[in-house]
Amino acid sequence: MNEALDRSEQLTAGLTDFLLAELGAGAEPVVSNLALISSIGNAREPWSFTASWNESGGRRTEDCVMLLKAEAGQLETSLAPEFGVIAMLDASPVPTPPALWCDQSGAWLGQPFFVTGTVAGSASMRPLRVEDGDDDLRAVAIELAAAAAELHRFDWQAADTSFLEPVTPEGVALAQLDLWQDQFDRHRLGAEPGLQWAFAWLRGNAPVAERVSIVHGDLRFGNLLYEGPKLTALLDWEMTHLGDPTEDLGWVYRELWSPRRSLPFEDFLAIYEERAGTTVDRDRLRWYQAFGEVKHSVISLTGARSFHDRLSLNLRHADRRATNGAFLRRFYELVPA
Amino acid sequence: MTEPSPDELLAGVAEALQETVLPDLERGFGRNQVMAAIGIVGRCSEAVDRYGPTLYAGCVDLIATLRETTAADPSLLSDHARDDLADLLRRSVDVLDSGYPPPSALAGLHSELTEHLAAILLAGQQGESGQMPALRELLRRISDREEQIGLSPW
Repeated sequence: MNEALDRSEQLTAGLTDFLLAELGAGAEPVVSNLALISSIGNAREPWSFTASWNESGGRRTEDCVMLLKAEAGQLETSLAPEFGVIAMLDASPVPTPPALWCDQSGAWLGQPFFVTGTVAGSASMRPLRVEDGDDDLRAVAIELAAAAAELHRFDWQAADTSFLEPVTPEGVALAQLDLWQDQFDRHRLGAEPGLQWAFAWLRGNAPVAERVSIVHGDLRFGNLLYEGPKLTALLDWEMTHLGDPTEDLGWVYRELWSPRRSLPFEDFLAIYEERAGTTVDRDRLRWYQAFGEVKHSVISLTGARSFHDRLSLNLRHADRRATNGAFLRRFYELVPA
Repeated sequence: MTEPSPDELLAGVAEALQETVLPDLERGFGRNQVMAAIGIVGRCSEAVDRYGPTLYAGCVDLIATLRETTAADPSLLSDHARDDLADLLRRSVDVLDSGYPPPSALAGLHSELTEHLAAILLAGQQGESGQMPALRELLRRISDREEQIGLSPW
C-alpha cells in the first residue's frame, strides 16, 4: 500500500472518530472521498471529503474542506483565531465558507485542524495577468472592496472575541511589528541589514489607528474564490487579528496579486470608502504598504528557513529569500528619503 | 575546461525537465515540486556566472561606504565595534586581493560586513545620523544586486 493512501485512510479513520465524539454515537457519521487538494495553502494542508450523519430524523450530507495545520511552512499560526473569525462571520455579509468543526488539540489527527463546508468557485490568478483587464475580474474586485468594507465594519465588540489578542488603537501597528520582528529574529539566515533598518523605520513612524476592526491579514486575489463576476468566499484567514483596517488595504494591491489592470487601486479605494463610510488616510495607507513589503519578506524568510532546516521539503519554500530584493526595493520607494 | 559550462548545464537541465518531465506529470504535489525545481535551477543558471562578481562588488561597496560613513560620523560605532570593524577591514584585504577569491570566502566576508552594517544602521537611525542617506543608498544598491541574481527567468 502506498504511503499517500495509507495516510488518507488514517485521516479518514481519525475524522470519523472525531465526528463520532462531536456528534454522538447516534449520528453514525461516515467520512468518504478524502483527497488532498494540493493547489492551495502553505501553512495549512487542505483536504476535501464528504461527511454524512444522522440529524433531525434524516441523513445530512456535506461536502467539506479540512485545513490541517502543516508541521512547518511559511507561517506558524494558531487555528483558534482563524476558525473563530470564520464562525463569527457566518451570519454577516462577509462571504466566508460555513464553519463546521475544529480540533485545536491535535489529538485526533496528529495535527490541529478545522473543517468548513465547500464553496463553489475558482482561486485562479490567471485573469490578473490579462493586459487590458478582465470584466469579470473587475466585478470581483469591486465585490472584494465591498467585502473588505463589510469586514471592517463588522461589530466585533458585540461578539465573543476571546480567541483574538486584544489591542488598542495606539498599539495595533506596534503589535504587528512585534509579531513579525519576532518571526524575523527567529528565522533569518543572515544579518539582513535592509530588513533590520526597515523594522526600525516602521517602529519609529508607527501610526495610530482611527479604529480597531477584524483584519483578514492576507486579503488578496489568490485567497478568495469567485465564479464568473461573483465573489463567493474569502479564504485563508490564518493571519486574521484585531487591528487597523488600513492594514488589509495596504496588502490587497501588492504587485504580486494586484487586480489593477481590471480595477485601478484608487477606484477600489473609492468603492471601499463609500461602503465603509470612512476616508482612508493615505499616509497611514503608505505605512501599511511599506509594512506589507516587510511582512512578505519575513514570510519568505520563514519559508526559506523551514526548508533550510529540513522541517519542510516543499521546494516552493527553498528559494523564497531570492524574492526579497524586489520587496525591499518597493519598501525604499514607499518610505520618504 | 570541462564543457558545457555550469550555467549552460543548469539551463539545459531546467529546459529538459520542463520539456520532457513536466508534461508527463499529473497535477499534484509531485508536479508542483518539479515546477519549483525548474524555477530554482533556472535561476541558478542565470546567477552562477554573476554570483562571484556580484558578491565581490558588494563587498567592495560595503567596505567603501562603511569606511566613509563611520569616518564622517564616529558615533555610529562603539569603541568595541570600531575595533571589530577595523579588524574585519584588515582581513578583507586578504580575501579581496587573493586573485580570484572563491565565492564562499566572499560570501563569508559579505555576511560579516552586513552584520556591521545592520548595527551601524540601527545606531544611525536612533541617533538621526547625517550619514543615513548614504547608508540608505547602500541598502538600495544591495537590493539591486540581490535582484540581479535573485529573479528567475523561468
